[in-house]
Amino acid sequence: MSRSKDPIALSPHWHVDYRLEAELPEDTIVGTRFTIHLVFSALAVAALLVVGWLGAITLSWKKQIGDWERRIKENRTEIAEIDRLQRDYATESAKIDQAYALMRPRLYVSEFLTNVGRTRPEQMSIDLIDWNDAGIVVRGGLRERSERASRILGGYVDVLRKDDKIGPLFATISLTDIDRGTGTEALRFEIKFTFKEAK
Amino acid sequence: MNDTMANLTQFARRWPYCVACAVLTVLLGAGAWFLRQENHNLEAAYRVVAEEGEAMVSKLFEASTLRQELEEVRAITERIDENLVIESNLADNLLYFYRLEDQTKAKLPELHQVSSPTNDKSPLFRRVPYGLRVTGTYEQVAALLLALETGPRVGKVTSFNCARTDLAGSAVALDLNLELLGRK
Repeated sequence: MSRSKDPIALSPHWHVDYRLEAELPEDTIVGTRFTIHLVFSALAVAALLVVGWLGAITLSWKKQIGDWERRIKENRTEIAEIDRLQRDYATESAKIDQAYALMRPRLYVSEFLTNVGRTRPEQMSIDLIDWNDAGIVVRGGLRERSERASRILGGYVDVLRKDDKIGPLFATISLTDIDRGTGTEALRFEIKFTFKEAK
Repeated sequence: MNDTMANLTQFARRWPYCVACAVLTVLLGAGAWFLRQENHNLEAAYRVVAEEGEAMVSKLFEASTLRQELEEVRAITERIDENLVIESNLADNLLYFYRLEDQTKAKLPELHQVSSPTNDKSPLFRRVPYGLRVTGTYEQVAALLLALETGPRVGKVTSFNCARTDLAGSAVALDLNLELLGRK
């Protein structure tokens, strides 16, 4: 084997390494000092950004509070006027409430009479309507044979109960008397309307 | 102590940029803490002022409706006031019924004003009760009843009895107890 082809042969430029590595300057691409400076810079910049962000929020709150306070101040006179109107409204409406408390009708009699007349069967005549503490009593006669008259009266009471202007006013509407009488053609009847408990 | 100071000084001389950044970070941290507290307080203050402001805006929006409703309520109370019965003014009180009698052509054979109940709690109003008998045709009596219930004087019927007086015709008699609203 020739000398030049021996892989472990010493080159002619070989020499002993006398370098003191600890005292040599760094020769890495990114130095430790640079990395430490970068970390501290990043912390400072991050703190700066956070403070800036918090400062912006502070300014925003102050601006919004200032806006509301300005608007409240601008409208103070008008609000005082509205408050006065509200007091007047409360006073006036209290008068109406007092009047209503005294004069609240349990029943509009004219409306009741009209509705009784509206729903009355053709053959029926009403002789008396009486309103007392117990309720309203309607008495009258029906010119029909007893069997048919009973059916008509039963149907009429159902009509009264279902009528949306009469039914809701009363707790009960019932046929309380039927009398064939003597010597008269008409069958006498009595219907009683009992009020609901006053609230 | 001196050693520590000396070490710190030496450290600062060796790493001036890092020390400056660290001091700045600490100061900014303190500032951030202060601003966070400040924002917390400002948020609470904002809530209070915004609530007040929104109530104000709502009031301003409702102002026109309030004015309109107040006018309507005043018109009603004025109408009530103008038509209140003065209990002692008997002639004027009965005249109200006679005017309705004229208008409806019903007859008022009986008309009495009764003493007011003393248990009314209202400081402004009192009930002035009346007992009356109305006769005429059904249409005439019904017209007078409607006029009483819907007329300018506020009133309510407390009891009534309506009976046919002429079984062949349409004549009816209505016995009525009602109360009108009076001035206290």
